[in-house]
Amino acid sequence: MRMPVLQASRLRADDRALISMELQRFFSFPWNLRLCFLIVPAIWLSLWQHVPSPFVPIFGALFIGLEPQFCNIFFRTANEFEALSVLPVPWPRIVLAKNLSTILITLICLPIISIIVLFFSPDIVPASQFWKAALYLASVIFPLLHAGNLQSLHHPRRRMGWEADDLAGGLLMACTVGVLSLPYLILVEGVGAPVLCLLYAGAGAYFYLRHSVHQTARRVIEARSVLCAAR
Amino acid sequence: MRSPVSILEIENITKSYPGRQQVLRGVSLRVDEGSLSGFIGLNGAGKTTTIRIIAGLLTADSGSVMVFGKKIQHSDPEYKRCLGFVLDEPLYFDWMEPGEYLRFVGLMYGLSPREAERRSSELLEFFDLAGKKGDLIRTFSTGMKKKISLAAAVIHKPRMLILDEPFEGIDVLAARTIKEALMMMVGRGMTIMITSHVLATIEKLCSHIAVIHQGRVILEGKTADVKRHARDRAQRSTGEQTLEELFIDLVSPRMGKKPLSYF
Repeated sequence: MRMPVLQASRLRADDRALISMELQRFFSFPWNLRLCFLIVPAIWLSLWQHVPSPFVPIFGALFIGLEPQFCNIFFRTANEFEALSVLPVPWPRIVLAKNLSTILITLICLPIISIIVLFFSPDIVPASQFWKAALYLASVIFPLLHAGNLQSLHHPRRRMGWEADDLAGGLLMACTVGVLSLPYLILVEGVGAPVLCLLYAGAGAYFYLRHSVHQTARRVIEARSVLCAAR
Repeated sequence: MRSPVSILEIENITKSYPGRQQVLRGVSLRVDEGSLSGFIGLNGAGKTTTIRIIAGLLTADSGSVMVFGKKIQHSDPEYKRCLGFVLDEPLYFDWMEPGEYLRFVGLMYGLSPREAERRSSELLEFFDLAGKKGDLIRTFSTGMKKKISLAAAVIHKPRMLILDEPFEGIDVLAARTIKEALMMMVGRGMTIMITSHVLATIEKLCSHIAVIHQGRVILEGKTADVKRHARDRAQRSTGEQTLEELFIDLVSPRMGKKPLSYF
């Protein structure tokens, strides 16, 4: 039987503390400034006539800016993995709390970046674009969390900042987002079946909750020595 | 007379790191309830690796670790509710204020928010950190960081506390506060296991000692017995040697050093 994981219906005090700690940390670290820097090229790209929707650069800036949040979940600070390891909290709860906080941060940052980028847009963005943006986010977020969890295990970075590893992480994130966008492009832009896209998003969420969280937690236990040796 | 209850039992654990020779070569160790046990050895002897295996940061290649008579399973961290750890690298989130950090750790150990708040205030007071409530931990000195690590390790009132080099890099005042805290805790029935290079402190504090050398525990027992055995092994029959002198004799018999040619 699977270990119980955090559920909205019974969010415990330790889950709430983990999530609020994650949120608090996000807003207190300078590497989050990269998100601010990425808004500039996002505005510039949104004005380019060949870009089909201003949401393309918005999501690009959002996901690349939040790369450490998705892809380095165990080392947002240098000793975090060790600090969490000695606590009596099962890894599935930690992984889920971290991922949930990432979703919350995405939902906080997306409207902010959108407002800034769309402010500079010369055209009025039709409502259908907002609907498509919501569909896109729903289809991509859970697969991206899964990919980020695996990336966090295989290529942990103990220190984050403005170094080559961080740049490489950003580029890899751009490629990953590109690949994970294909189902949306096929189902919505190609086939024109947003319902299928919603079903895909639901399947992604189901897979994430049923398998990804537990798989990541299991691999954390197996890969502790590698994670502890991360530089 | 009742034999003492063993809280921690390590049976024949081995550990190798990739590309390095075996760090632990069959370590066996036992820590009795209510004791203050010192775990001493040279750098690289295997002390930290042993402690990281108990803490669940590393997996032993073979052997077992029993806590409260139960073999630990790293997939089930419940056993950590009864333990507190102060590892060699301080385990804090240094972007937090000390009170915030202690409350966070308290909640992780299942304390109610009110109780976590109460205990964190009391601990800050006890460790003379109440005046630093509003500062971030990253601005603290090494001694203050050690104190906050210790405070976090005991906020849930563990039955056993494991400390790796708690006296390294700290001044005498901080060391005294930590020593007093440890004595107070052991007096209240807590079991403590401590590693340190400061052998004078270990000798003074600990009722039991285990000596690890080249990945094996070579001596273990009550402090007086260990000293007697060490004296016998070093073939010293007279005089009262300190633990440090005996330890040096034990792990590194004196050999004549060739003097430096330019001195």
